[in-house]
Amino acid sequence: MNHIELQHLSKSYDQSSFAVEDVTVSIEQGEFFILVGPSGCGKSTMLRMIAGLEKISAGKLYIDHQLANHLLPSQRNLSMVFQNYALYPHLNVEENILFGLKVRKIKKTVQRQRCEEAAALLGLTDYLKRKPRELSGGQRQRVALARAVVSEAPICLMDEPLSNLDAKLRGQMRTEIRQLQRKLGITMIYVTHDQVEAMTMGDRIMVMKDGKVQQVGTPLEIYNKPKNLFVATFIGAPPMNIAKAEVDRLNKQLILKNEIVITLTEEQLFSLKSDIVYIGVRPEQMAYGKGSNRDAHLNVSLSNIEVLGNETLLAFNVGDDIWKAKWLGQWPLDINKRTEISFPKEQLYLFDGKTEETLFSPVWNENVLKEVLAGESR
Amino acid sequence: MNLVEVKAQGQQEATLEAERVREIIAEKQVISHQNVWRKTTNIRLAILYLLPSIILFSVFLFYPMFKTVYLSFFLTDARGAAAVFVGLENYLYLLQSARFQKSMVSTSLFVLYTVPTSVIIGLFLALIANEKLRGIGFFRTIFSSTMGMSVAASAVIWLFLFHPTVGIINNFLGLFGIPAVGWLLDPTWALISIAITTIWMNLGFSFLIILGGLQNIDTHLYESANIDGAGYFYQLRRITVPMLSPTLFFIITITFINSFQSFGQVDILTRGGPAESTNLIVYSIYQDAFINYQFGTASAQAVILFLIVFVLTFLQFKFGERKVHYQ
Amino acid sequence: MRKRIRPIIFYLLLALSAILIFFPILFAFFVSFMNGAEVLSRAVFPSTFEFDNYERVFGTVPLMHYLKNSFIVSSIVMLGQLVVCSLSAFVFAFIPFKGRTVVFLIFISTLMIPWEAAMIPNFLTIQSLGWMNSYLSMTVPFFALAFGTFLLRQHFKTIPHELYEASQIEGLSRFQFFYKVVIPYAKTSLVTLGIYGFLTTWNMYLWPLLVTTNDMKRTVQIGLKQLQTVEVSTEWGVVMAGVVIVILPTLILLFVGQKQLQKGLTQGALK
Ligand SMILES: Nc1ncnc2c1ncn2[C@@H]1O[C@H](COP(=O)(O)OP(=O)(O)O)[C@@H](O)[C@H]1O
Ligand SMILES: [Mg+2]
Repeated sequence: MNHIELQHLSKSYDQSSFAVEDVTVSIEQGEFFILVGPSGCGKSTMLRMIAGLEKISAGKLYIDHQLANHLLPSQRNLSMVFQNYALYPHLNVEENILFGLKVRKIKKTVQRQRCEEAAALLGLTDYLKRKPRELSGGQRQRVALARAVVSEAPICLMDEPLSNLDAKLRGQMRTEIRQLQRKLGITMIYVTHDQVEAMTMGDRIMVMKDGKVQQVGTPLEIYNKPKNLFVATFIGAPPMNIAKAEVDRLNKQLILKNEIVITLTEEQLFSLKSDIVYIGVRPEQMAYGKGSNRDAHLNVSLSNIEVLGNETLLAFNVGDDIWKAKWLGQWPLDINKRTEISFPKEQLYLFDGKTEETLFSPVWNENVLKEVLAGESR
Repeated sequence: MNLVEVKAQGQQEATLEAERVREIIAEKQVISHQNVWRKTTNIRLAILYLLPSIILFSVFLFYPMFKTVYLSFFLTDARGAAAVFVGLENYLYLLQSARFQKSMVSTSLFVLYTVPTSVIIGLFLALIANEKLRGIGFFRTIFSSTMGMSVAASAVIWLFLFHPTVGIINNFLGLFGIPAVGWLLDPTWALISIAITTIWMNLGFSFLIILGGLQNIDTHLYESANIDGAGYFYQLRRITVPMLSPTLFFIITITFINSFQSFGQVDILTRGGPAESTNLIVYSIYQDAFINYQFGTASAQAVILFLIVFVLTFLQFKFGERKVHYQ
Repeated sequence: MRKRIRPIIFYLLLALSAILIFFPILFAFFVSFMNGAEVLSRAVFPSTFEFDNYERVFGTVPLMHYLKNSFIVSSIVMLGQLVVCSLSAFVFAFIPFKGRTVVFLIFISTLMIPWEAAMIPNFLTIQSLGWMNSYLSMTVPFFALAFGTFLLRQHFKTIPHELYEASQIEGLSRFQFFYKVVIPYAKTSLVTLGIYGFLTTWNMYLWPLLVTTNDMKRTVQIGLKQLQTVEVSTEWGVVMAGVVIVILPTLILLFVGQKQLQKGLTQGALK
């Protein structure tokens, strides 16, 4: 009913470069699927091709196993929510919600019933007679959602729907949208440039860059097993710390900026194909002082400290790169004082110096956690 | 590698990429059956929606403009049908005709009287009505009121004001010991009378447009000038007029064109007289065509009018456009 | 000190200018209540406010017919312009096609042709169409208006494109989008154009003079000219009563719509 499949989908606006190139993915029924990537990477273009607002240059789009390349937007049985809400300013909330139904000449009684339900669902019952300009940003976005809800389309597309809202409201709407999607069982394709939204909302994430798919996977897959340097740095806040390093095969070690030396395990060493690599460490893996299981050490002088209530962000230079460490708790350290920082070597990510592909990433066993949880609930 | 080589290589890469893109598209595109019909949706719809305008413009503007040019090369019969081809003779005749020369002189003088005065007074009114004062809305309404005045009504009112026996203007001048003026009877004054009427009629429009231009000026500019302690006239010269220049340019052009097209005030106030001193070009066309049935020479004059307006509008587009967005 | 004087100077200038500019209109109003003797004595104020002149003016010329004709013609032109201009503005704002810029340039070029330069062949056309003394001749040629098209296009272009896309997804045809979304959205500029169209048509002089010969079909402006020729020597009061009746509708329209008109005209003219 609401399965979407893209096969080698490409889009070129100018016939000389691709805005979206060769995307192949299958989106399951009822899935919350997220397109994420920096601005300009082609997310909107892809969404709009699925919606039928943009012509497909090459490749095939299947909706519900039917070739849909040439269907009109209205024939694709989907709804769409826009960044600036796209509410009709001259219509009140109720008329806005029912606009599409009226066009499709759906019975009045059905209209009223659906409108009431949607309004109740989204807490708009008291605002039905207001004009959009008399609503707050969050309320406007709810009206836009209500419009998608009443259409009862099995597929919903959203293009950065939360980016016009303030941070707090955004957090709240994230939860609401996710709950709504589960309750209605619709297939959602959701575009965002915000990796937090991507991580917290999606069943699966597709990371894009320059029109090309970098990786598709569950949030945890993407976080733990990034396919390349770009994905590794794009997902996670603050981003993964990166530095260029030379491989010293003789001594089985990496040399960073001619000063820091990290000895490698056999396995890590074995994975290295070239002599120049990028190393990556997540900020949350770094700890204060020396620890028994943290076998890589850095002696650094702190350049900045941000205490955020229950956690502390420390910034320091490794060569020319600024690295960050994220520690739980409040750490009133002195700036410019040399500090010992360490992290476990097996948590190191290694990327090819040329292709930027991931060469080595820490062990991550999804099933371990699942078993633990299963054990607990038993 | 020097810069040229880098550039050349970049270009080469771009063409290679473009080739690859086109190849992939050619290979993998899905061609729809209804493509031709669907592809032309936009153009069909556009034509349908533009059709009324296009037909009307063609029938009542483009065709008659060409026809005017055409007629200007002919002598015509009384029904306006082209009878004898005479080439440029109508134009030559006009250039030599004392009547036409006089008409051109009057028209030029008339434009000279009306355009600067209308714009300057309009600017003055807009400046004093742009102050944040109580009841300013009332004054704005009054100042714009002549825009609602038809040319016939205005001319009739001024006819009365200029009237040699009942006219009140001479009365008013008499209060200051100024001798009575033969407003509509003296050839020199007649043109001035018509100019005064026209200026008065223009004021509403130029006031409204210039006021709009003034209100579009960013108030921050004045705030910072105030902080610097700049005086009113300094701000006027250094901020207002430069920022307003596109608006002024626009209104000057419009007033220019309107002046060339004046007709009603002449018809009611002087009928081109006395001694043809107010025989402005449109009035002259009207007389030639519809009183004397000389469609050929009338058309030749119409072509000249067209050329003047064309050049003015063209200048407005060429120089006005650029100045609009930056100052 | 300077702060106090400034408003006073401005009020003085404003008042003086207002008197000078409005005097002719006000004076016409006064004269419309004067009898012949008062006019001849060059009085400024009428001694009584009686409506004799107003009654008489309807007897002198068929002013009622003129008013009716003007009202019908102006309304038709206004509506016609709104329809024709909004359709073409919709294309320029929402329907891209190859060659749209060229068509747009053609529209712009119409601004360079003064109506008077085309009036002779137009007159001949009207004659051959048999439209003399008909409302058609005074309305149809004025439906298409480049200025109106630009004005509306400018406003249409402020409509967020997402609105258009949302309507496509909801299954609206272009025409439905046009009249259900674009028209209500651009109400204000439609009002501006409406006022402008009504005003200019009501005030049209030369063209009605050419294409009407029958009193039953003439408009108020031609009526004024007649009134002035018929009544000129003695009955200025009657003439001015006619003037007041003719200018009242447009002045009211202008006063009501002044703000709108100013905004709209500035936008259309300068963007
Ligand atoms: N209508 C268009 N015409 C030409 N190029 C476009 C158009 N829309 C988007 N692009 C280009 O395509 C690329 C992808 O844009 P978009 O899909 O909007 O990115 P995102 O939504 O990820 O920010 C950008 O380089 C953009 O400049
Ligand atoms: Mg986007």
